[in-house]
Amino acid sequence: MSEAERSGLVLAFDTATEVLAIGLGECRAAANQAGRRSPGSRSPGSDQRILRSLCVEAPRRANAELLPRIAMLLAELGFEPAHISEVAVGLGPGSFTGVRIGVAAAKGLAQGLGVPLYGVGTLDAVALRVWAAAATAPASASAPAVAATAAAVAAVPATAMPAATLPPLASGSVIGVLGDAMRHEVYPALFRVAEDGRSLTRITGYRVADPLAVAREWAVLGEPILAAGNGLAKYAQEFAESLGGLLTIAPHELWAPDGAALLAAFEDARADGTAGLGDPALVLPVYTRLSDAEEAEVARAGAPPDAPTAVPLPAATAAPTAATPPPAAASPPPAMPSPPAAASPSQVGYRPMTPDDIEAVLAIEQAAFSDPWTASMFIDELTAPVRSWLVAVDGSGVIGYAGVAAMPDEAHVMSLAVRADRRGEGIGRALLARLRTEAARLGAKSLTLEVREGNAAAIALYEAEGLSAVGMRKGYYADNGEDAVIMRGPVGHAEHTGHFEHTGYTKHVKDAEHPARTAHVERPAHATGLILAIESSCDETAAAVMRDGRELLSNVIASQVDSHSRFGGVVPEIASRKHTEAIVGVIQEAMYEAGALPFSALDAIAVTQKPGLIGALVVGLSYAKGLSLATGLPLVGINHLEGHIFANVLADPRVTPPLVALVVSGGHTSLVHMPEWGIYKTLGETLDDAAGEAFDKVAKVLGLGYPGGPVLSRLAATGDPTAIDFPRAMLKSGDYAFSLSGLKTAVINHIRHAHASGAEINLPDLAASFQAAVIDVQVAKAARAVEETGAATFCLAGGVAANPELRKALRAAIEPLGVHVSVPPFELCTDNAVMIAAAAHYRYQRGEVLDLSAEASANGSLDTAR
Amino acid sequence: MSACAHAVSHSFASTSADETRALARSLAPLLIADDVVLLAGDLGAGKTQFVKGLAEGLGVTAPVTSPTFNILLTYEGGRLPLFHFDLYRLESPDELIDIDYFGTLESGGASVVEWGDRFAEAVLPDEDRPDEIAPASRNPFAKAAPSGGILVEMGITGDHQRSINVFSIGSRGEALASNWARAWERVASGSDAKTPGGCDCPSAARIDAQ
Repeated sequence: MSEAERSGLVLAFDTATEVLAIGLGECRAAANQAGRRSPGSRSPGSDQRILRSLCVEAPRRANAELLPRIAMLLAELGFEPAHISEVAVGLGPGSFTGVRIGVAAAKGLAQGLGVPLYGVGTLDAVALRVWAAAATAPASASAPAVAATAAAVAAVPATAMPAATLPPLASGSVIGVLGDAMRHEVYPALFRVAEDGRSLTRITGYRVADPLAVAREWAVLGEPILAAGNGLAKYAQEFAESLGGLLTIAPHELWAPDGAALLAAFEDARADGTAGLGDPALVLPVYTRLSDAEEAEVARAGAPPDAPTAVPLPAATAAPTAATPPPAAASPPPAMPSPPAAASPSQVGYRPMTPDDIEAVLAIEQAAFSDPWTASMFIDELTAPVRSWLVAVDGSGVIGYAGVAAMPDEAHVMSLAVRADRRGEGIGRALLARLRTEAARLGAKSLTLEVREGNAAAIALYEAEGLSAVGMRKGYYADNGEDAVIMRGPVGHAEHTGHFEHTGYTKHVKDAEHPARTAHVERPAHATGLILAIESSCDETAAAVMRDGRELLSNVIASQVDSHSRFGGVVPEIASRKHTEAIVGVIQEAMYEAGALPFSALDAIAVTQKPGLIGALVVGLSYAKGLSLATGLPLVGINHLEGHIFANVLADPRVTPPLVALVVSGGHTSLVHMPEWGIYKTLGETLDDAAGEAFDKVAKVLGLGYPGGPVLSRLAATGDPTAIDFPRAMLKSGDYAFSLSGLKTAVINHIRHAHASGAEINLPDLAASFQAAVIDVQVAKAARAVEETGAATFCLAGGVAANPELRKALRAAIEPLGVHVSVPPFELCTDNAVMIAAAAHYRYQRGEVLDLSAEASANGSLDTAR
Repeated sequence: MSACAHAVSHSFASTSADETRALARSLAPLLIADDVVLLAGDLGAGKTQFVKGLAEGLGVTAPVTSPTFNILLTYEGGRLPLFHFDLYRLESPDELIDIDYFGTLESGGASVVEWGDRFAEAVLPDEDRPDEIAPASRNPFAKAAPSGGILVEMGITGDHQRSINVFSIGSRGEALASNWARAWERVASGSDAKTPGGCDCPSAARIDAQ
């Protein structure tokens, strides 16, 4: 097979149901353009050749099976990942964890390959699969269509109807798909075969609904419905009772998408422009519900809560057309609401400008400047040499842009504008920073620009960014004769080991000349020592690039505070889905800050695999596995506790094995022995509550709020630690285990007794006595561990390592033993990816890498992290 | 969806953490896939102790620790997978969706949920509307146990004494609660060391799913 033929390889997959579907197809883009069809529809004659279509049961195994199976399919066909030119992923609605795994893996793959990523609706793919099966059923299928009476349904799904008995679907026929939304709800969608019999159109939006209500709606339609979807496993009976002879249930094997149906759904979505922009950062799962906080945000923004927004949803609002009349009015009239499309606070992404952006750019240009450029001026710029134009995008499209032209030594900013409603968020600053790096890449030594003398805001921004006024151009602006201030400043950092990863227009031009695109995944001839680390075990998405485990090149934390603050203070404690929204931008930023590195400059990718919040961990791990497959880079799995220990290694060069570490945080209390780099033995851990958790919960009991651990510690500083003799649990147990729940109960009993006897509680004394009881046990066990193991170094690690009394007590007990005591700097006590990168260096040196079937784990001790 | 109308909830009294664990151990053999046990009670009431007993009874050998920080810890290796949730850190029921709570409940294991009353809706008469009788058909625990189950409410009555009230939610909850009461009677009568604090007379509280 020639390279030219291979260049149109399309990969599509879906993990929204208990079935894993993967399709590999060959796309003929030119034919696609010519055969453009009506929105939301599909003609049966396909423009693509299906190379492989897979559909396997994999309940709760999506993370383990998805990427190994993709790798296997590619290998069977003789392809490399680099041959993939487009990726499409099922966005649901469906299983939340399933969709999250698929979308994160797709983002890693697409970003690693530098190819576009698109989203397709899972229910759309199911409908297309059913339709294709009906269309291809042999003529003998005029055998009795099996109407699903209540009695017949009783046998479903145990005895699935063979596909050959599917009734042929005439023009105007209706297909109903019912996804299981759990907790007695379903995701319903209806589709209609067009009058000409050549296309299928979704006539309802995506939503979540009560199955009985949906059954009534479908009955009121008064038309035969061919139904599929995993919701039927639970509600077939109800639908059969409601619809009677109008309902036919498709064979069980057609209830989930397969690879061919996904490819077909993608072809449709692309043809009608609902597949999205192709930017991996902007592909998000279908959310059929808005959270309360988002409802409030939408209400504040003035949009009705149920109005579809610009968030790209797959063919979400294919409006009923003349060929698809709305259901006849009946009593009661069926409600077919449009979907409450989620107004997600999208991540801002940055990419090169393409000709497709010009319309949106002009809208901003015309609002921002009194002498706006025209479309042809932008087109000239995009095709001119030594130029670089970038756009800032979010879910609503282009929100800002900027361009630079490089003269031999000096680069000149051609334009920079941010949409009026998005100013003041740092987007202009970010665009300028990128222009400066682009200027450096283009060989310029300095950067200049002109700005209207009266534009104080812009001048202040440029001054804050290190540019200064160097002259004036009198009467420079033609519209009002205003003077221009000329400003000059340095270009970006010159360390550019690679070129800027263009994912837009210029890239496509390049691809036409070099369709194989292998340059992006070529391993360097020699090791660079560079590792990209990804951390998503709790509330923060973070990434860092580090050389040789010591030299930090970039450190990015997507502070979720940014998006939360937009919700007027309603800050959800848990926000796994934010990771899905943030991860592409965070990795992009980390690679960019590290010197606009291409992935090929890396030695390996590292990711936190355990322990943590499972819904958050799977995003980082699935993404990292996708990136690993795309780039061919080895993947290193890190235990979060190991990361905390390496925060000490980073900060203190004297920290070397053999060492003992006490890892204390909100989720952990562990004594770990590290006899040599990368070898861990957990000596003991908590049998119940973690230390940080005990502090937080006792603080709560004392009325100090939650999480109030740090407040409790401050209060303790003014109290008498010997005032109350709380139990020192496990102090004499002879092992290294901790138990804090008994102490918690003792504090609660103390308060109860005080209340009963009317005694006053001295809060500082109580706090100090509690803290002393925790610290006494930890210090005693830590000191004994140091003595028994003969460790030369002791490390205190984790979030509770910031507790000043604990630091002091450990030093006092262990330093006299002639052992070096290391405590981490406060900024490294919290979660970050820097410590993951440092830990990964040693694991990678030891050749410990993950394969593509690796799974995330909420639990997991350090010893077993391999 | 059950129309059964008689009360089947039970009260136990525990005099030690060991007894609380034994009580939970006796529930374990009765659990089937997708069962939900909600736990309610103040800090220190013994919720994690209860889960330790449940895990022992299922044959889980791994140590059970508090899931407050990670929200969900999963224990495989027993007769059924045990999903150990803690809703303490959640602030809104929306977050149940975000952590794929409902998908996990229906994925073939038994779920035990600390702070399972966190998103209970005020169905029973409350202070603001004392005269209003709640419709019996509503499930105040629909958020945390949409398909029914049992609610185990633990109260601190002394330094080591705990009151344990069991409410059934839906028809599956009724069966589970009454089987558990019988199982505990058998355990208690067969052992002098572990005398139950007395099976108090059934109080009148039963909540229908849906």
